[in-house]
Amino acid sequence: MKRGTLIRFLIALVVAGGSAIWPGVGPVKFPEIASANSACSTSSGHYYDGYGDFYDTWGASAWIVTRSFNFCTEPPTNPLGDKDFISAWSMVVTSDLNHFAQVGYGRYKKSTDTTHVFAEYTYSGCSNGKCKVDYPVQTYGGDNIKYWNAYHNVSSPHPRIEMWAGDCQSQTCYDIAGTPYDPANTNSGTDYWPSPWYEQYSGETKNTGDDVPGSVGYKASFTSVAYLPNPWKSSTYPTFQNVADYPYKNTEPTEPYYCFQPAGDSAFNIWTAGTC
Amino acid sequence: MNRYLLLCGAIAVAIGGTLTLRLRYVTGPTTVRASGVSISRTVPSEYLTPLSAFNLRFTETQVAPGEHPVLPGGAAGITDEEAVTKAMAQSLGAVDGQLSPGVQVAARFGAFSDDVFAKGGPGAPMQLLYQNRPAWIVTFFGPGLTIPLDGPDPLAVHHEQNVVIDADTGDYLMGYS
Repeated sequence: MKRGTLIRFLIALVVAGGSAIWPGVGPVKFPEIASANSACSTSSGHYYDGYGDFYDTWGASAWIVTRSFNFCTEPPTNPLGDKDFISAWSMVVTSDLNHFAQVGYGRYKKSTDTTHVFAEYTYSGCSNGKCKVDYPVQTYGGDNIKYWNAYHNVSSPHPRIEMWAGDCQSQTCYDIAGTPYDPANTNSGTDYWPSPWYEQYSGETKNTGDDVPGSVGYKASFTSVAYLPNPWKSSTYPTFQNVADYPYKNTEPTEPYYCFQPAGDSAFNIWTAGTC
Repeated sequence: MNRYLLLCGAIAVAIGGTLTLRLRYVTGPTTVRASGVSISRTVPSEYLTPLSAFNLRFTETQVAPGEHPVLPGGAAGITDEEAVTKAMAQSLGAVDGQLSPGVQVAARFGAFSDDVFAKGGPGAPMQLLYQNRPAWIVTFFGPGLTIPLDGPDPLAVHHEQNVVIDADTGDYLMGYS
C-alpha cells in the first residue's frame, strides 16, 4: 500500500469512529476503551443512569447500543462477588413500582459469562416475586438493538406482557419472555398491575463502584425511546410512540460519575467517567 | 431398663425416623461422583421454581446416576455429571468447576420445551427454538448462591438457578430463576 493511500485509509478510520468497513470482510468492531472503574462498596443496592417518564403506557421500547463496562475493584469486598450484574434495559412499570417487566442486555462478573440478553418480570410464583431468564443470545460492543416490552392482548395463551430483543422488521429478533398471567386482569390477584403504567430506560449496577455501560469515547446510546399508547392487538408488530420529551425531565443518574447526556429527540447517552 | 427410658427411646426413634423420611422426601437420592460433586434428582420444594412461571414444559425421564440417557434417535446423550460440568460454567453457584460453599446441585433429564423463546426477523417468521429438546435441567440451590434481582429496593436475591443443557450437544440453552 502506498504511503498516501495508507494515510487516507487511517484518516478514514478515524472519521468513521472506529467502525471501518473492510473490503470483503464486513464491519469490524474495534475493541472498546473501557471506562474507569473504582473500588467496590461493601454494600449492594440498585444504582441507575437513565430516564423515566410518565406517559400512560402499555409498553416501553428503546434502541440501546451495547457498550463495555467494568466491575468494581476489590478490596474492599464486593458483597455480590462474581454474581454482580451490570445491565441496560427498557422497562414498563406500575406507578407504585411494585410490578415491572424489563428486557435488555447484561453480564455477570463471573469470568465465563458473556454480555447477553435477559429479561426480568414480577410474578408471585417466583421466589421474592421476581422471575429472571438469561439466554445465550450474545451482543457485542457497537451492536444497536431494539429492546421492547408490550402488552399483547391475545386470547391464546392469554393477554400478557411480552419482552423482546430486536426489531423484527429490520434485524434478527427474539421473543425472550412473557408474563405467565394477564397483568391487566383484576382476577390475576396479587399479579394484577394497577394503572397507570409508566416507562423507564436505564443502565443499572448493583454496586456504586461498578460502571454503567459506556465510556467517554463510546457512550451507550438510547435512541427512539418510546412508549406504547395502546395495547398490541394485531398480529403485526406494535407501534410505539417516541417520548419526544427533550430536554429530559426525569433523569436519574444515582452517582456523580454516572453521566447522562440528552442526544436530541427521544434519545440520550449514558457512560461512566471521573468527571461527566 | 425402666419405663421412662423406654419411652424416651421410642420418642427418639420416632423423631429420627420422621426426620430421615423427611430428608429423603426433600432431597431424593444423591450420589457422589468421581468429580466429587453430589448430584441429586430432586430439588427441595423451597428452591423449586414452577416451570409455568417461564412458559416452560418438561417431561422427565428417569436416568440412573452416571448413565447416558437414550435420545429420541437412539443415540446416547451426555450423562448427568457431564451436564453438571457444562452447567457449572454458566451458573453463579460454581467457580472454576467447583460448587461454591453452601450450594448443592440436582440434575433431571427429559423433554424440554420453551413456549416463548423464538427467533425471527425480516422475512423470517418467528419460530420456537426449543421444542421437545432432550435436555438436562441442572438446578443449583442453597444459601451460598445469590442472584441479584432488579426492581425496587431493597436488593432482592434468588437462592436457586436452573441451567438447561442440551443432552445431545452439551450446549447451554437457557438459565432461569
